[in-house]
Amino acid sequence: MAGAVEGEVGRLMFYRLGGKDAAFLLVVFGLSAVGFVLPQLRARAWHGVSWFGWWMAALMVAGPLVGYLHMRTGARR
Amino acid sequence: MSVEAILVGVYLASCTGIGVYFARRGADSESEYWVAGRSIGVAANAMAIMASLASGGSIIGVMGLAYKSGIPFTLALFAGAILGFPLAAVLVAAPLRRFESITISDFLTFRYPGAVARWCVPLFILFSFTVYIVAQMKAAGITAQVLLGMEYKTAVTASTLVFVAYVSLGGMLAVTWTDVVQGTLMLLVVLGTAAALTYDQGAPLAVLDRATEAAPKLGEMTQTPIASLLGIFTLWAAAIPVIPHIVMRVFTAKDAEGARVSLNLAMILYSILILAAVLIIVPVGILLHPGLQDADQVFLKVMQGQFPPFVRGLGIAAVLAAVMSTTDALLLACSAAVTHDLLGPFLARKGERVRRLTTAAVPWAIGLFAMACAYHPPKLITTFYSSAIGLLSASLFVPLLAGLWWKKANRIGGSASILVGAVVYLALELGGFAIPKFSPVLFALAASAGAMALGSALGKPPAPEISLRIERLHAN
Repeated sequence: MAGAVEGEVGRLMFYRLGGKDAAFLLVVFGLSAVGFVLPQLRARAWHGVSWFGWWMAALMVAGPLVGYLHMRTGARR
Repeated sequence: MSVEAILVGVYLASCTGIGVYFARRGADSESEYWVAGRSIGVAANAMAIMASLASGGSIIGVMGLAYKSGIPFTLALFAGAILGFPLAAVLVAAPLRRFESITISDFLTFRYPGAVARWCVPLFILFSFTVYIVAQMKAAGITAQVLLGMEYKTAVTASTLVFVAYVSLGGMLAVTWTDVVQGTLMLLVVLGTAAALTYDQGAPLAVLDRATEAAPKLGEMTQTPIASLLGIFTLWAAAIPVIPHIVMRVFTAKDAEGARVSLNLAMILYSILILAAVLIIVPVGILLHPGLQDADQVFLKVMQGQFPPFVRGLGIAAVLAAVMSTTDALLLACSAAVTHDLLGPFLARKGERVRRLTTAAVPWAIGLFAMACAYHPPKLITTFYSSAIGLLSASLFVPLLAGLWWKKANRIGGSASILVGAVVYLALELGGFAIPKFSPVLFALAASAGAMALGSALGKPPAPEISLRIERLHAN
């Protein structure tokens, strides 16, 4: 019941964002946030570059690829 | 005449030729001139978006920044820019494309009617983009200076004259098709350089080991506060959905779906370009040219030392392409801010001839002013123009997203959000406060969101015709 009321309030307040789109944004920016929050990523290095740097590089590769798959597999508004 | 100079001459003549070719179509209507008649396909639009964003900052500047501030900081900045594309593609592209306007100010002025959106938004764009253009001109100047032996001011003047000429002649059609050529050239040269250096110097990870051993700062991040890293990431992630030279590409797409897919493809191309530059070319630069006074010269020094004249000529053309593909789009967006947003109603009363003359003259005025500023260049171009772009992120991100997605956003909230975001950002950026560099945008975005919420709670609901039109933007 509480969930239904919240859903109704949400619809009155905001235009609807598709579930897949919302999930895509949550994954991308959630993983970005992890990079800034975890101190271990700043403390350790691989080939002389901190894990934070590699995390950002991985996001730069994964973000576009997942984004492309998302767009091609029925992403809706 | 040297091989490099001939190649650069051919390249500049080609750009001008494209401008002349599209001059007739560009003059047909406002829509043809500013948004290419909304006729650009996905592949061309993706390459043009990538080229617009991949500025002199993304070839000269990105490598200078990694050389001086380290790989982690640089990748935080560019990860922000790249992840700004999904934000733009998912939250902005489709509804804004359906709005059928010419500039972002059109939408904000419709959504938040009043003097703030009408006047402040184009003025912020004009200020930020003029700074951005100055930084690009430095990249053009030092490239010709280092690789062609040309005098700095002469190089700045020559490149300015060419891109202002084709922008004023051909508008968005000329800008788009020169950007396609320029984007292709950039990718070829950066990826080709990375491949040649890998062949010559060894596997990238082995080179990275040697480079970080010689210069540990390259891979460390102890020198940068986490607030600065988060600030630079957020600044660019929030900028991509609102910066006008990218938003105008959304309006040039044939339809909403085309706009979304082309933004995403552009993100893939841009990511490849940046990672090749930072992880392969910069470590070689550190090893071969340590202790450079001007870090922005690292790519040029690598080109100068490692490659024959023909490749150097292509390298110069690629850097000029990077500079010009961004600067032409910036210049067009600045011109739209003046001619369409600020002077639009006045020019509409003056007739077609005056409109055309003004449309052609404004790029010259802005370009020549920026050229005069670029004669005294900033030190590190990427940080210089990032600070200016922060003003647009801080003042436009919240109003645009709230305007598209929040039904309760109203005139008071939108106007307050624009003003508070800008004022807080400028106060923190210029006020000499002891806070980490690039963190002002974090405070400014929070303040802008707070002002939006408070203003919308206090003001009247948006007019029914505004709500109805926004509702239609979300209907498939």
